[in-house]
Amino acid sequence: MARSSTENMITLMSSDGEEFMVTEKVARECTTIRNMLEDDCVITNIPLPNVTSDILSMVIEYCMEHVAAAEKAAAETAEKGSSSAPAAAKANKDLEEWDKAFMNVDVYTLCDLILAANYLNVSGLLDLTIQTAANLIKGKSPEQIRKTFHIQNDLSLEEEEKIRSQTPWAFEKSE
Amino acid sequence: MKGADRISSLPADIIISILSRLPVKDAVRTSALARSWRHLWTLLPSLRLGCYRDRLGDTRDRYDDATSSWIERVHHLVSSLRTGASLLDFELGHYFSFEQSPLLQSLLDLLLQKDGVQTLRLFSYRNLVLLHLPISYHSLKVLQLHRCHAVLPTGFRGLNRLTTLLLTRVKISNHDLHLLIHASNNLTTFRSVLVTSDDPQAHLSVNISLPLLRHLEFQINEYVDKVCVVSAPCLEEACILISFFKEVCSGDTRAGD
Repeated sequence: MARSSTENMITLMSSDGEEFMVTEKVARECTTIRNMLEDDCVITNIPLPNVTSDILSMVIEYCMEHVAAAEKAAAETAEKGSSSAPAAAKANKDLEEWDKAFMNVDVYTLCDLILAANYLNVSGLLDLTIQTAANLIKGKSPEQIRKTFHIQNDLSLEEEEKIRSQTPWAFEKSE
Repeated sequence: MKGADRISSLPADIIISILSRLPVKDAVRTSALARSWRHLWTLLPSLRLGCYRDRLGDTRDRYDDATSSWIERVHHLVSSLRTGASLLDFELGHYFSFEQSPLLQSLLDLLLQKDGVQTLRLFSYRNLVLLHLPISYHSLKVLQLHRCHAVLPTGFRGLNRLTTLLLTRVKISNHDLHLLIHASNNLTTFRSVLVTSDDPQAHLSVNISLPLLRHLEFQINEYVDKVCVVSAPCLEEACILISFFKEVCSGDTRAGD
């Protein structure tokens, strides 16, 4: 990956001490980091005590992909004067496909990504992960949701029955 | 670790934003997952209920008919919300019949017993429903009524935070319309389309004098004798439609006083 040498590099350090070198542009995708850089522009090393290395590497992968897509779109616009609508639509669709494939993770990782996206304030990733979690709940019975997310049912039979009887329509099977 | 329950230990505000992406029925269903999920859905900041989106209806109901059991379910939902909780945004839309007005009124009264509702949208797709607005309500910023006969109580003190008032196919007396507009000093957007007078002898005659109004859309129909913008120093866009001669004119003005 050829990068111009003038581009500022930032080191992000995960909670388990692993260092990730990224361009400032990629780092700025995280609003939390952008704010740090704006407060103190000489900062080059940022510890992220709340994010483990495997999750941080995924967040960086997401940010790099989205920065690259935005750069490509900007370059095409500059080249042709204006971006052609079909090309832009295709690029959007490609990025959506990429996001979809990126979300092919287990629920444990998904929840960690939600937390990291929330902490680092990566709005696109937060939106994507939250929607993915919602899709895993949608249309499922409580039993199926518990199984999907490994939720322990600590309600007694009577308690659960009582809850269900308060809103019986919520537990009817959807067509 | 991978087999552990991670979602339940997410901060409540994150779980609530997940639930916000679900149809209400699915969000309510999470109350039976485990103890910690029991009341989470009652913290939803927004309830948008309608025949088109909530899947609250019984499949045996006629789809184009708001049955009383549907309204009862909504009533139950609203009463389950924690008092003083976080509901900011409430939207209700269905094919209501006029006979359901008292049910809707009691729902509205229940809702407005809770503090903090900022947006209230009510759409009746079939009949005009009769609704009495509260004497005052301090947090409301957006009020949208569609096919309602709106009545203000005596002693109406205004909706002093209201910034957006959208009335379509609303029936209201001249007196009440005046009061509603002028007791809402902070209005920035006012739309009145197919608004009619409830008294055939007294057509609507509206003087608009609003210090912060930026957007005005007013449709003049056969129930409207006069609309006069007396003072609107912040007005950016005004669209006055005259519809009863099937003749339409509209215009943008950069208006001072």
